[in-house]
Amino acid sequence: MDTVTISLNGREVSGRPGTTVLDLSRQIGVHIPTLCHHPMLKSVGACRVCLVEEVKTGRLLASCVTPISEGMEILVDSPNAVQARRGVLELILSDHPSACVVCSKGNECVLRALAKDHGICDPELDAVRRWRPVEEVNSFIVRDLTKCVLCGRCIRVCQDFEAVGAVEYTDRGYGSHPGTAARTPLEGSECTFCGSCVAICPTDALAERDRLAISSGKTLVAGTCSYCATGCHLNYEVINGQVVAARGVPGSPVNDMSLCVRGHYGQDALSSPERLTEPLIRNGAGSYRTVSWNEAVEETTARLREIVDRHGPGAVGILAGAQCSNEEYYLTARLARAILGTPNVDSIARLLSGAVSPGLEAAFREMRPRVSLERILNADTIVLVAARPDYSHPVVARNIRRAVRHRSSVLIQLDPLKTSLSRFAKIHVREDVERQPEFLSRLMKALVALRLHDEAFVKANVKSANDFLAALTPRPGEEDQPEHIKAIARHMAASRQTVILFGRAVGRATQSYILTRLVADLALLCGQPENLFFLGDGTNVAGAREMGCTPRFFPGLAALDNSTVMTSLHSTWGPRIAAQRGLDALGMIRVAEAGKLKALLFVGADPLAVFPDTERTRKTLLKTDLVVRTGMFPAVGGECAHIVFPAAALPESDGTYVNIEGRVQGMAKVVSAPGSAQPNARFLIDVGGRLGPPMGFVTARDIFDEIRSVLPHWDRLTWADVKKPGGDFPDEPAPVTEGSEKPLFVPYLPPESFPRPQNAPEEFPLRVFPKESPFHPGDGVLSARSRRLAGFIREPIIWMHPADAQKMGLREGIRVVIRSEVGEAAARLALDSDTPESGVIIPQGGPWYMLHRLLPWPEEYCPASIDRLFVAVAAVEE
Amino acid sequence: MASECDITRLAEILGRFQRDRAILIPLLQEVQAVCGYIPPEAIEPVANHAGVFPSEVTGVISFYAQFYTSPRGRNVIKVCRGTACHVRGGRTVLQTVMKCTGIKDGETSEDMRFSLETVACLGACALSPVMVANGRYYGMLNPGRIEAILKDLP
Ligand code: SF4
Ligand code: SF4
Ligand code: SF4
Ligand code: FES
Ligand code: FES
Repeated sequence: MDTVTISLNGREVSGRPGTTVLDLSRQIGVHIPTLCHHPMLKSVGACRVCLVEEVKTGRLLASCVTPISEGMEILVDSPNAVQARRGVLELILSDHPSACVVCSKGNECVLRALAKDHGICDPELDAVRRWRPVEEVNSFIVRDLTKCVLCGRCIRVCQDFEAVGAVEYTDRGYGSHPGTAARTPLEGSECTFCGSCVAICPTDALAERDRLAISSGKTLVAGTCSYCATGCHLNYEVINGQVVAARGVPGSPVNDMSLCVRGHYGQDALSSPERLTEPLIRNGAGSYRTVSWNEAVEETTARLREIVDRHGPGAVGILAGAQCSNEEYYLTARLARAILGTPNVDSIARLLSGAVSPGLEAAFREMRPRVSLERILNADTIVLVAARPDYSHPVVARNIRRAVRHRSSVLIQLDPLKTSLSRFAKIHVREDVERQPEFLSRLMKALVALRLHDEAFVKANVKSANDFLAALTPRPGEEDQPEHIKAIARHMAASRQTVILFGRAVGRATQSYILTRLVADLALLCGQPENLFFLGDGTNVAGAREMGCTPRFFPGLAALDNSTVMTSLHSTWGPRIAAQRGLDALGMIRVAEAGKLKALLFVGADPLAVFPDTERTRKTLLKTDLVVRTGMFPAVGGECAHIVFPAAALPESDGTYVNIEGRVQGMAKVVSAPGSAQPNARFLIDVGGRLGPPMGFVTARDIFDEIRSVLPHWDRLTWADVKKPGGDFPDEPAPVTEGSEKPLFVPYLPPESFPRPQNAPEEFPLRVFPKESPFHPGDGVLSARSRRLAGFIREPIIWMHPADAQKMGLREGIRVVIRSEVGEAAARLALDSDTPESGVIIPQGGPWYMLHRLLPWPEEYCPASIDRLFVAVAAVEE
Repeated sequence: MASECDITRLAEILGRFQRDRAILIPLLQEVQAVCGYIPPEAIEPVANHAGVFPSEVTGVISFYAQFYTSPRGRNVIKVCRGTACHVRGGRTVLQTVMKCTGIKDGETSEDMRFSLETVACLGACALSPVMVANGRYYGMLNPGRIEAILKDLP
């Protein structure tokens, strides 16, 4: 039977078998009150608020869990049903504190709405009070379980949707409550503070801490989250022109309903009292005076002109941050190459992800995966190569956990450290980043030796396939690969979909290029190059490359000597275009140190928050003739710029962004920027328009349209489409290099031996293992101003193995100083036997920037060589 | 000492069970049979083995009265608080046991000799008032007998 017909409130209605009475009645617009039911969760029938009457049997049925059956006669509001529902509600309300007036859920409380609908004010039942202390320990979530109605929504969302499983019904009878494994508050559990349970709790039992305002009178404005390149879709809640909260939207393409801790709780950074609101110009003495926007623009252009006149355009460099919009990156490229005439234009992506881009370009000739993150949900095998999505892209980690939990997908983790995903991993290979090339090469050899690779794919799509395979074929007499590597090879081969994710540690390794090429080769060998995701830092680094905000390409990753592109650019950009290869971010700072680069423009980048070797960078900036920067906050580590422009945040400007899937998502301005702060685009248009002919852009859309005219594969995108939730994908771009009729992937022939891992020098005996924080993504500039994100961990902590600490006479909890060749940083010491021996785990990125102080400026192609950083740790007197 | 749980035996116990969530309760019972209780350090390995979240293991342990999360004494005394026993002096039984052992309901004596629990009905109402010591039923109790029984226990 295809449909089942029942009578509902006297009407004949049909639905597919398995449909619940609740769903069917909602489809035809009949309202049934519910409490524990939620459309995104499996129904469990915990509350009985949704009771309806089956007339023939007189039975009361919980409609959310009762499937329809032929001939049923349901009355939703029969006197019996209404009375029963009232009774259920009275029971629930009887032990609920009647403190609605001071409740932070306010009008969003489902229980209050139900009480109102059913005319229940103060149930006359004797309550069995079960007071529980309010847990207000962490900076994100307040748990007041006295208000809990045991609906289990939080448990289901945490177990099934987030697949974290931090909470479960614990104890029985009146003691029953959603509890953690160790019966501690949430911080003692696996909780990631994603906030999904808070968003879905029908009462105030779970509430957001330190909300800027309670919910009445809010408007919802759709947008994307600005904290990372997952690009989650969300609704900003706006009251009086201020973002007070953010909420995930069920069904949105990238993230469905989930947001991570940053998305839910980090938006308070927008209203930080530290925001820069007026432009500043440095006086001779090093103090700053507030000036008007126009005066700051005049000063900038006058001094730039002077430098260009005296030293030529090549003496200017422009560096954009990792959070600009596509339009802003495009304008940056145009300002540099076509107006100033300098090829020195880059984004800080170079610092964040090293040789990953060149590596992927060489392998695939273009970098963006055009696949949705949903692939992860359907993957049979997921391989993490030095990737920590649980910290860098938490919503991606959600997909991984769900795949493991719901599909029993196999997770393979290659990471020297234990992370929150390790407990989901079937195989965790704790190999140093320095040894990972060798590991990957062995894994490929194992695949070929066991004949588990996709030979047909390789032969058809990979250049010099035979050489590639020959290089991987074991030579006679060569020893077998170790058993755990063969096991991984078998898992990968047994899987229809193998997704490989590699992360920022690859970008920051000395062998960043080699590692990237090997990861690409691995994907090729499995015949699944499209299932490769790079989880780099920054919100829109993919956009930066694509828009030509790089010294190596024109927009659209077009080669600088591509004459067709040049001709078309001339018609938009004018006659004078700097077409040579310019300095990248590291090149710029080095040449500035040598005194040959006279002006540095930082667009949405805070130099001391991105460059290693803080002291050397500071000295260089202070002696450079002109440093201009735009930013939302006072500079990390002290202001080094001569002119500072206050910048708007992402939700304060119009723009489009490319996420890790390659989606182009647009966002319209949600709220206004404070004071005179303006989007970076305004700064670029004003400066550009004063140095050259006016660019004629009024809105972000004008720039977007010009980008479409310059980038052939963007032509199909429309402003309306990219602004929809989930945006739109552009076409595949033409291959970077021209050649054979069909683009062939270019494999990397693995060398016989990789550079030997370096040993620690005597005076710096500990190898550094950087560990990122889920609370401070990217450069950490924004999250440091979120009271909640910054409030969770208030001081820097490093970890060592207890055995090492003992050898060095260091005790748990003492203050220590960490020294490297170039600098030092202070922290508190924690001991953990999971830390690799002779190693020290140091927090990466903001808000302490410890590694910035310890890392030297790197050599070519190894952006930060974090894997070769060695330090000494010593106690400090307190 | 009986209360010391040898966590190294956990691996061996786990090895005897399939990796499946259906074995969670038998597995916990076995851990308790070997260790005397379920040590907190066992929760995570058990969860990983059964393929469930650690919080789910705690949920199960805390739902069933049969599971203990702290070491119990060598002798577990269960005193009946059911109706039949109550009318025939169940309260005195409990008071006597409390006096002799020095512990209250739900506690374990410091020397690990006794643990005391109360139960709703032990299902031997005809023998009331009833208590169970180490799985053995003792009926028709009076304070004198109780003292003698307890004294005999190791
Ligand atoms: S905390 Fe909220 S969501 Fe969780 S069971 Fe209680 S009322 Fe339901
Ligand atoms: S915040 Fe997220 S991880 Fe923590 S309990 Fe709630 S749903 Fe689970
Ligand atoms: S995963 Fe990234 S984009 Fe999504 S909510 Fe978290 S920080 Fe925002
Ligand atoms: S809504 Fe149906 S039982 Fe709770
Ligand atoms: S009441 Fe004590 S055994 Fe039944």
